[in-house]
Amino acid sequence: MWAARLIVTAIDEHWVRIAATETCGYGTSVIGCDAEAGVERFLSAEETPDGRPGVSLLFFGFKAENLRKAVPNRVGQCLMTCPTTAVYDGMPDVVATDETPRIDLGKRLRFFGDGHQKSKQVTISTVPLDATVDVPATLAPTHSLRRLWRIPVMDGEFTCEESIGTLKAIGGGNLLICGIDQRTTLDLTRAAVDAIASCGDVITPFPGGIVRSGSKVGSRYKSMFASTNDEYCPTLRGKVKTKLRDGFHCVYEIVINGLSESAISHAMKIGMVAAHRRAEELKTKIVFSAGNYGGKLGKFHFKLREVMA
Amino acid sequence: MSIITLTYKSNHSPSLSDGSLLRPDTLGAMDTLAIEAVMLSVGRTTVPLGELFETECTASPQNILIIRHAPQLHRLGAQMAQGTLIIEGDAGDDLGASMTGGIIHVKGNGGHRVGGPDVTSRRGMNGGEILIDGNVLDFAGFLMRRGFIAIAGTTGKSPGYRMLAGTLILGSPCVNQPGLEMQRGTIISLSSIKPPVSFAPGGTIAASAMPAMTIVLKRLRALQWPRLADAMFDWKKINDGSWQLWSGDALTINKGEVLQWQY
Repeated sequence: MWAARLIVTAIDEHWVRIAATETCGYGTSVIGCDAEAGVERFLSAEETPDGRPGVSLLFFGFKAENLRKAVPNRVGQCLMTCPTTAVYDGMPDVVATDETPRIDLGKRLRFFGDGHQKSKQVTISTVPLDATVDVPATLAPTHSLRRLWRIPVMDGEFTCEESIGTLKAIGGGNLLICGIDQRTTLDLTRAAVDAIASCGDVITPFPGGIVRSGSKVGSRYKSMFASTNDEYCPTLRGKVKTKLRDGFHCVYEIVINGLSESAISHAMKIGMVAAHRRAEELKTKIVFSAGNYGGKLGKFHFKLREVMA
Repeated sequence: MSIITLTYKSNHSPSLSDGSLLRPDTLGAMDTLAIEAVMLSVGRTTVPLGELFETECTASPQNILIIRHAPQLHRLGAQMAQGTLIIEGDAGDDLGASMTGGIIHVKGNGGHRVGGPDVTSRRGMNGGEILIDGNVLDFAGFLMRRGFIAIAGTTGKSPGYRMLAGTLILGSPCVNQPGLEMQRGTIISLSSIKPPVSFAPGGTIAASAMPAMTIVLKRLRALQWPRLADAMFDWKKINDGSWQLWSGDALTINKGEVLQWQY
């Protein structure tokens, strides 16, 4: 998969959350959505380019071409319309190649300005200055020259980076959490998702980070790419070959998309540790699993024993 | 890459006046001997740089050139592409003429046409950053195309005259026709400013409604520019401020802007 990262800022946390929610909406699975999208983490005012609160969003698509359509559409409809927001590239240092091209963002959206749009090439300072040399801080080594488009809107300006970088990434890392009943299993899975939220470079794109309709690759119906993961459906126990152990009656899946194999592996470990800790608090049983569906899901294998090692 | 310090030692007559060869991006690739052998034009003759300057070189991950105690040299940083040029003293005319990148920091005053066009060029600076702690003379930012110039002190006639684009930041009051005939670009005043009558007032805009300007200010802060180092801004409240806006120049294509910071 290919990934892109946006840094979205707004006047306060309220509008940051609204912007994030809108932009990542209908972004659960590329099976039916234009992209998989989610919040990587929320950012303090000190961490953002314009000194306002913000959020880091990750978008994943089957190809860079998919992101080229999905991201500008989402930014145009959900961020340009959202009060006070501004959008910046979250991966400005990624070198553009044929395989990982930059996606035009402000360069496309600027035309909304109807000729009144302006660009500003600015140096965005990202980290504190190194004061080890006895000369003025004009040495600041960590900055990048970026082009921003300023599109006039009714509350001021919508500021949007001209283009954003893309990266080859990994989608579909998954973790199945099996519990004794629905309420308990949901509790355990939420604990895992909350813990994974602290990890960088990953998102859990499904509702609340959790999938109840886990899928297997393929279907008996030709028109379907994916269908229900019958081996883990408790109501099909006895009807199909089940992978559910005795006494376990509910399974939730956490799908993790990440910028690297190590980021997904780390997130899985953090999630399992948190869920297990919660299971101990609740004095209940828990079983972890994961699926690669005979290699049909991709070349990356996250073996849970190795992840936890 | 190295930090090069050139300390002026000569009372050579006539004195050196053209500083266009003193660039961090070209000298930074040389060793001390090569630097001292660079021939500089002085009057009708040329003399080796080593005769005019004491040279000190230390290895560094960046190209930094520091010029000390020199007379007001013209065309310092002209066509510079990268690196940092620090002038501990005053600079002459045409500082950073047609430069395309890098940073110039003048700890004293600048001359005419800071960031303007170099010889034979029809455009001023096309990138990079110029910081001036003192005053400058006329037409700062003349025909500048990209980059930014920040001037802490006073300015002469019409700063931003015929600007094509870019950002000019003024730290002191300015009433001398700033931005006259500018096409695009931004003139930011951190003090008070009175644009020409051909600029249309645009009212007051909240700082948070123009995030790109906050980024420019944040860059100045990162560079520890003196005006900002004096705690001019309460950084945590920077987005609570506002801008007084003028648009112009109506004498040209009317796509420029003059902004005055308001507390």
